[in-house]
Parts: sequence; C-alpha cells; structure tokens
Amino acid sequence: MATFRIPPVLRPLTDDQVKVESPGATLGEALEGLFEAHPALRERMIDTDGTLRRFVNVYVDEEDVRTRDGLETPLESGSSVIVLPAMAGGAA
Amino acid sequence: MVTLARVEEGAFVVSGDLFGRMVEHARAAAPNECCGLGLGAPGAVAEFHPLDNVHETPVTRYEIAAADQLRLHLRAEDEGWDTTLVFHSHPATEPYPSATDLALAGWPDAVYAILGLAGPEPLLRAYRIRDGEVAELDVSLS
Repeated sequence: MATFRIPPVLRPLTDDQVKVESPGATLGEALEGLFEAHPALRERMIDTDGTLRRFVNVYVDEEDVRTRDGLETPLESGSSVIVLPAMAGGAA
Repeated sequence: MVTLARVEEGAFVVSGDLFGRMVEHARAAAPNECCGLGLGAPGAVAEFHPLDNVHETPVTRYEIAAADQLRLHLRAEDEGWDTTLVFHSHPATEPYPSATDLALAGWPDAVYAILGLAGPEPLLRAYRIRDGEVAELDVSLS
C-alpha cells in the first residue's frame, strides 16, 4: 500500500483529501487504483501517450521517478508518493 | 522568524533585502529568465532560494529542477511552512503572467512574483493565480 500526498491544486479532485492510499507493486499500478477512486486525476497527471505529463513531478520515497523507472518504478509496502506540479512558466 | 515578504491587506510587502536579491539573481541570469522559491508560514516569506532555470529554452521559459523542488518542499514541511512564493523574471517583456504562466500555475496559495527587466528600472509585480484567473497584488517595498 502506497500513500499519495496530494498537492493543494489537485485536492478538489480527491474530495480535499491530502493523503490517499492505493495498493500496487509499481507506481503505475497504484496510480490506476488512485484514478479509479478519483477519475479526474488521470487527465491532470497522465498524457495522451500514457506517460506522466511533462509538468507533473512524482517522487517515490523522495526520488524523482524520472530518474528511476517512471511508471514502472517499484513500490515498497508503505512507500510515500509525493506529487508536485512543476514550477514552470515563462514569457513565451 | 525573519520575514522577507508578506501578504498584507491585498498587498505584497517586500523587504529591500529580498527585492535586491531578486534583482541580482535576474540580472545575473539575463538574457535568460531566472527563477526561485520562497518558503514560510502562509502568506509570508521567511527564506528565499534563488534557483537554476533548467528549461531547455531559458530565454523565454523557466522551470525549476525537480530535485530542487523536492528538496525545498521537504524543507518547508520540516519547518511547518508552505511554498509561499514562486519567482521568475521576464528579461525582455512586461512582468505580467503570460499564457504559459497561467497554464502552468499549479500553486494556488503561493504568490507569483515576476520581475521585469525591460524598462529603465527593474519592475516587480505580484499575483495570485487560481484556476487560470489572475488577481494582481499591489507591491510595496518595506
């Protein structure tokens, strides 16, 4: 069972829950459980090609999953998953 | 706790120290955009962290490194703080949120501060961006 920590901007999509638990052996599996309970999250986190959206950062046990195996990153029992919208923008 | 900036009655009150650090960071990065984060209790900035812009087109875009973002997120949590300031510069345009800024603004409780360098003097503007809607805060220096 992993615990997702939901950032403020996405909490309206999780009934204002700050932490949501979901089972899974990988990040992708746990996300499927999360999306089943909170379907509107999928579009905000996953791109049309099935990968994590460019400007969403996800960390499993304090490691950026893009430096690990992305959605295939394995989860331990009690893993903590932090979701942070990227801080990005610019004039153009 | 030292307060570098605070939101007070609809205004963003910025210390001269913080303003000077923002200008220094922006000028050092120009012609690229610079970026940084502020941490503190809700509505206040106790720490300002100038950060590297890792976007591949840094002249007109900025992006804070995922590792920096996590490091400061955890630091804020340890202190019982929030990320209260998202800062970047517009080296060649007005310091108003662009369509890109609005589309990517994911922190509704933070102040988005933009420093413009296009005019004769640096110009700081501050905003709240929620659900793509911009509300400007008056900026005053303390």
